[in-house]
Amino acid sequence: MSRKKLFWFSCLIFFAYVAVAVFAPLIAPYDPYTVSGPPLRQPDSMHPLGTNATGQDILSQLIFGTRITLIIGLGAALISCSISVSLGILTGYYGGAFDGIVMRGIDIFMTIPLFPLLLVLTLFFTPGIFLVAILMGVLGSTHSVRVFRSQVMGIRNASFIEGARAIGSRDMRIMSHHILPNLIPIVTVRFVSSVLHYILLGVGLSFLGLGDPMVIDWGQMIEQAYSSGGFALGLWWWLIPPGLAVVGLSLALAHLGYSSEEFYNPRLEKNRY
Amino acid sequence: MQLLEITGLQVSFIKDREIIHVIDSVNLTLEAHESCALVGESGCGKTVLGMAVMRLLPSNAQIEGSIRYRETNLLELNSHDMLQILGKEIGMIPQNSAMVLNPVMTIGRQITESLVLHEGISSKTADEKAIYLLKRMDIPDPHYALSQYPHEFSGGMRERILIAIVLACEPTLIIADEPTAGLDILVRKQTIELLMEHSRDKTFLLITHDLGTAHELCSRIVVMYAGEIVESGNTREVLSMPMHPYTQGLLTSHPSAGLHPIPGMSPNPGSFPEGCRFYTRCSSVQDLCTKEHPSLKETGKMRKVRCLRYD
Amino acid sequence: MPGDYITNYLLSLGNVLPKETLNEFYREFGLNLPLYEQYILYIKNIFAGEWGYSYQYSLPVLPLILNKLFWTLIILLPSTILGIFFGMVTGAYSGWKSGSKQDLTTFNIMIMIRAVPDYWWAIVAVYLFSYYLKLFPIGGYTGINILYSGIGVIDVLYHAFLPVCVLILSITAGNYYMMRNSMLSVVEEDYITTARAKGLPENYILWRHAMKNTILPIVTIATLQFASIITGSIFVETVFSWPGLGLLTTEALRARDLPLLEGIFLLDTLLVIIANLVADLLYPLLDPRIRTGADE
Repeated sequence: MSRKKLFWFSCLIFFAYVAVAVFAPLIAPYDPYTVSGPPLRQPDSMHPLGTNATGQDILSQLIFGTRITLIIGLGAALISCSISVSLGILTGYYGGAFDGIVMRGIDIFMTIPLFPLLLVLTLFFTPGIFLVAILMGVLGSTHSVRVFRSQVMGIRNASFIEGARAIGSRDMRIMSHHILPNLIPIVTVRFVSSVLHYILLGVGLSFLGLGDPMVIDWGQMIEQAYSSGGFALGLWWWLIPPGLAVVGLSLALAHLGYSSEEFYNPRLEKNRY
Repeated sequence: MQLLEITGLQVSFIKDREIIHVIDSVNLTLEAHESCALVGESGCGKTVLGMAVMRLLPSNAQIEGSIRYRETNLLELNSHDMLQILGKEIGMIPQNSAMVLNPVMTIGRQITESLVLHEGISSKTADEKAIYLLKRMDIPDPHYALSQYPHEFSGGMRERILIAIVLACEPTLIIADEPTAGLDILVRKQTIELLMEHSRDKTFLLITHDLGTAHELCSRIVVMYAGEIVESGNTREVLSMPMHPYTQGLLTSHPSAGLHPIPGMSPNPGSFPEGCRFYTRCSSVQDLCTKEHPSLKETGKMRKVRCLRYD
Repeated sequence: MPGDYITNYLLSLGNVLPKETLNEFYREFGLNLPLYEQYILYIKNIFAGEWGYSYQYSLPVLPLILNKLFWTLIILLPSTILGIFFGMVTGAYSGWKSGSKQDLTTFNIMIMIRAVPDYWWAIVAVYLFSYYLKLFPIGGYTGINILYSGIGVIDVLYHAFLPVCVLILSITAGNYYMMRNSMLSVVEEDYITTARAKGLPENYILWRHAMKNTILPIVTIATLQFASIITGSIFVETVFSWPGLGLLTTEALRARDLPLLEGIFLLDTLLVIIANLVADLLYPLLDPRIRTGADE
């Protein structure tokens, strides 16, 4: 399969997931929270993916779980990118003491390992999914600030900026009209890989039992299947589908990430004559 | 005896599905023990020519024609056989001494590795030979220098190290690409003297844009412009009585002659004009020059010119 | 950390809290001191090895962590070392031959490995190899026979095999990607062309000329991988029930055992700092330009 076809295929898959998330109430056969059948039933015509230990339909849980996963992933990525882009532009453009202070703060912040901090904070707040997304986004934004900042600093000294300044454009205008568009390539690439990263993080968190206890998402499904003796009892219909769902989504996103990276940075695709 | 015979060489690069011709039907022969200078401005193709002989062009390059070294067509050799030739038979002093030396490898190692790999001698013997070479290059304290790194040396010394490296396996043909570029006058003089001393029994192809160096080192000179040879002959003759307007322009643009640069810029490969490639900058241009492309004609003993005025 | 420490601690012991006992404990632990003094006391305690008491186990935190750390290192050290090694070698080779079939196939494989989270690989591994094929044990670090014969080294290694393999997967993929990128820029450098001009064989150039230059930008990141003990092992240990720091963390999270979590968190931060120091020391050793102070 050629590179281009792979790209469009990944796009298709991603949007399929989005569609499932959006149209969940229409697609899912049952409400994922109500007990709709006998527990631990193998897949049959009534429940295409069987039921879990409480008798809830797994397929419906899977479908509704898509919403949560996507909200967390996209939400966190949006927040992270907004913060890091803004900070990057502001520090890169203004420089000086402001830049110094902010970057020192970020440096110190970055020595704290993210994951444990995240664990503790979710423990502290026992948050709903939106708060999880916000937390992840805020914490994760620190990593990207540097990248955007150096990009901005490179552009700032370019002559067309001086030209804009010379004709008296206000800073805000310069930043939004000139600098921001130049950042779009790396921001896009980073955004896509962030979404992937945060989705995996989110599923991982709920696997550990730290996500929103009120909703059921893929990580929790895997965890429940596992701790209910998924292996010993051979509960493949409970254990495997959520995992496959995660894998499918992340493979699609990973390919999108690499394709966009190659698109903007042809050096990575050497020797293709 | 003819050591190097280049016939009908054509080099093009494929970039973004476009074919760009960089060298057009170049013929060049080098006799043994001869020293020849290949001069021209940047972009005329002279470095590409040197790289073509070494088969070091990037993978998007297309080469046609033949490059014969001692009866063997180098372009037909497989990579393994070519490795036997590179370094041992044909050596190169590459351009830009700052970038061509591995920054994390000692210069001793960079000299001895070809010795050890090509001639299979022990590293101890190779080290001794390296020290000997460095001494001849007037590098102070050669024994200690073996364990030093490229960044610890000045530009002039690095150039001399490059010469030491190329002389290590004693190749028969040496291609030197801009050995004096970026060096100040005194260092340049020293480098030229060094090269003269060591190239006496070797065949030498000097690629440069500096006519002074060409004059001092080489008996023959070949002038290139826009991928073609436009004039060639005995160095003294060509430089004292240049025939091609471009050569004349080169001479008058020399500081000692009053620094009158040739107006305009040389055309980029891929956008060569119709007719003679130099006509846009030529002071004696005629109407015919814009339509007909001149071919290289022999005008005397070993003298060739590509100009419609001499047809 | 949420919750009054003493209250939580005592509550975990019993349900009723007489006021006098509370005050007694406060005085004992110095909680009636102003906040900054408490913090100083905290730091002092850390250096003294007094990291608090775990809720779950009612044992001091530090020895508990150190004990589990040992077990984590058993699977983490070999996998990190091997993972970095494999990643670097395959990445270097891939970058060197970029565009070739081997490169593209490896690249795609690595993308897929990287996209799949490690707990999924762990689950697949357990499912396939332990449950289905019955080749490896399902979890734990020893079999039942320790009751008779004590902990056997071979047995532990047998149990460690799958977790190590799973860990190696993701570590290799990450290093592969970075190494490949680095190599792509090294390949274009002029000194590689010079080496070719000397007639040196391709493999020699790759391993002797290119490699050292390729590793330089990556050294810092590679060293830091040793510090991510918790992040790295938490999922794998949980799935494999391997009694290391990761599993400890998961259990502590589930039980909301705050002192223990604090201790683990602290250890992790310390490790990152140490790893950074090591990386800073290591870099000049590898790059001669830093050593002698190049003025380029």
